[in-house]
Amino acid sequence: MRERLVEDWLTRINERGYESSFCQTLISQGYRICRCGHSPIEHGKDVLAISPEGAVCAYQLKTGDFGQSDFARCRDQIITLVETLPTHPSLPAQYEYKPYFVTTGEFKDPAVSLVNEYNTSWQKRNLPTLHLISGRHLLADFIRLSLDFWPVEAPDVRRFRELYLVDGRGDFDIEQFARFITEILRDIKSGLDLKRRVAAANLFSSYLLGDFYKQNDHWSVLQGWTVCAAQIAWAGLSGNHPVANWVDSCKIAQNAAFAALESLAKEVLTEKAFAVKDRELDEFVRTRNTVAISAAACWQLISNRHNPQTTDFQSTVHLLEDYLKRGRLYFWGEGALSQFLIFFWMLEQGGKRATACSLLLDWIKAVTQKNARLSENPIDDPYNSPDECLAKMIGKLLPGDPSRPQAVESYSLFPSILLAVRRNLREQLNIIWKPITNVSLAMFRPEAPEDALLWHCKKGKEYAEGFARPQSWIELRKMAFKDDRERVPKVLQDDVDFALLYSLVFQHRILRSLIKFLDDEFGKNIQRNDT
Amino acid sequence: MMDLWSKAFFFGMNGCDPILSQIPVRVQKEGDSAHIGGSKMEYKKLSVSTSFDIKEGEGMTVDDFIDLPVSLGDQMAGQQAKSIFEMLQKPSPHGVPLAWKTGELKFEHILENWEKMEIDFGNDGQPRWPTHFLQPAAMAEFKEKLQEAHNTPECREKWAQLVERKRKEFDEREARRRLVD
Repeated sequence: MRERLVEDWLTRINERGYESSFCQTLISQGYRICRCGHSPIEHGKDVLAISPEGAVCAYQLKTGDFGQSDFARCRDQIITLVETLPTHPSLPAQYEYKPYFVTTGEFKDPAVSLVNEYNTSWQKRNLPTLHLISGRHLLADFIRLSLDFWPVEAPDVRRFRELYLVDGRGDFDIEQFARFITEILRDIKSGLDLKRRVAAANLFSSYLLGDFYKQNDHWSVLQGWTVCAAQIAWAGLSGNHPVANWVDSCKIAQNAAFAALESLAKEVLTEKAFAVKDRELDEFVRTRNTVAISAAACWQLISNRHNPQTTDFQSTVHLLEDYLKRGRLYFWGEGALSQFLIFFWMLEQGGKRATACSLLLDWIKAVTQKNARLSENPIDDPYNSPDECLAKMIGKLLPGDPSRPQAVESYSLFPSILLAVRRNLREQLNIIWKPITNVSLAMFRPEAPEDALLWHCKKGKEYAEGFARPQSWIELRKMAFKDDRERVPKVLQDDVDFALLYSLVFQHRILRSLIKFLDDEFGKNIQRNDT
Repeated sequence: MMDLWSKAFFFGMNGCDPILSQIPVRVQKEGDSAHIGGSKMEYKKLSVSTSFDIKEGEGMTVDDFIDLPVSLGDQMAGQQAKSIFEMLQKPSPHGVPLAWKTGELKFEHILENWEKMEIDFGNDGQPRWPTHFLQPAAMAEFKEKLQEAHNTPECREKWAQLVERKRKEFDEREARRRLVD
């Protein structure tokens, strides 16, 4: 049954969909991954790794059965793979080079015969020979690595089945996915056990994200890998395990998330990327616009750190401005603070300070008005997904069962005000301060900083408080600039790019310390002096 | 089937009690404790139970299947209300217990009671008096006493003085809702 399922997955997956799991098998065999992912500079080498013996291995990944004609089709790529030596900063000056050609299907005999002839020719010319890895070989590796971690208990089996049997178009259940990965990573007994479990987490993520790869649902793919990477880091950090035992697997998941983010960012800038091809509720369409543009902006903010102000960066800023002006974005609930913050930083970095400030103040005003104590129609809290918020909105239009009123609070108001305080917007805040004091400010603090990496935190404290009456501006400034990054999980402190991606995906994890940390990295116009 | 049962239970719990239906519920989303306004929340576990006969090859009628969980929900709401009343026995700026022997309520009792509480004022300048939860007979006596007071110049004067004091307190509270250096 398990073998059949992995086999089924392997026959349906595309190249990108099994890249991460393939890298994970290499790591488990003691290889060190230098590069993983398709790019214009790959030159036929999708994966670059160093073997335990020190040989540099390059892998070209393909899908399906491979016959002689397929070989002819890929001839140039294969020749480049074999005949050009890879270059990468982490490679030694001198090394033995081993090229591999991998496919999820089988190599037909004529293709194998052709490769043998090429190999003879390459050998004569003192070039390396090409090694073949077929689907049968991959299947054995994948099954071996995931063998001990298949769900056994009925609820887990049901969860796996529901997560696996999806359409792959927007039906990713991130909460259930996170729960499934947490189950794999819990009760770690030793360093070796950790290695096996993080490997299994990556493999199962590949299985469960397969259909989303197939449908090019980049948003679901990036959400899944971000959750997987965060939870792998949690497993390592919470058990005080040596970083070497988990960091490579974590990087694989992170890279897969960044690859999906980049794909989405590119898609957003294509012509008619936002065309609505079916009957859809406008709020749903605007929500999708918001999610897609925020992901694109997230990628551009990350890219901008390494390669500033590219054409794509400017195009994304213009797209964002245009959609804002035309009211084509929709902030469905407080969970949309993740998207909002990305827009805010993007506008600031794009030189649109006035628009950014105006957007921030509009957010503060809207939350203040809608989430005042005893409000009857508050903005939904960040624990509600966009789909849940939209369903609730429609539900409110229909008669329902009696329900009790919910305490009205805001998770996003305080962090938003801190951003305004960091930009010295005292005058603007002063005008709306009285209603601001009528909002109960909610916050969750995990017991240990790394617990924030879990989707659902069992240990920690919730707080609901209000601003002091009167509230000292000096105190607010102190809070806004207090360096409390020790509350930010180490893996996020060390990798600001991943921290930004995490904040985009973990929409319910509104951590003031993280927002300030990200604001230090991505914000502009911060005024540390009060004048 | 269990989803239907749960739905009926919550219908009973949320729809039957007039007091509870006015009190906002705060759901703990994550973690294992909550601090509201600086005080730690004390969670109290409440439970209700029921029993039914096991019959060979025979289930419940539709009426029984719905009535039983609705009634359980109603009982749960009753327990919650009881806990809330126990909590309300502790005086606070937002709630003070008012108790009297039947037929012995005096207007001064009511004034004293309200004196201890924070009274807010609406945009129309009128006080927002606290809500009272009383048995029907007690409520009738309460209303009668207020009506009597309304017709007595001395009581009206005391009432007006209370309103002014409370307005001053309210204005002071409101004035503190500002940003300072």
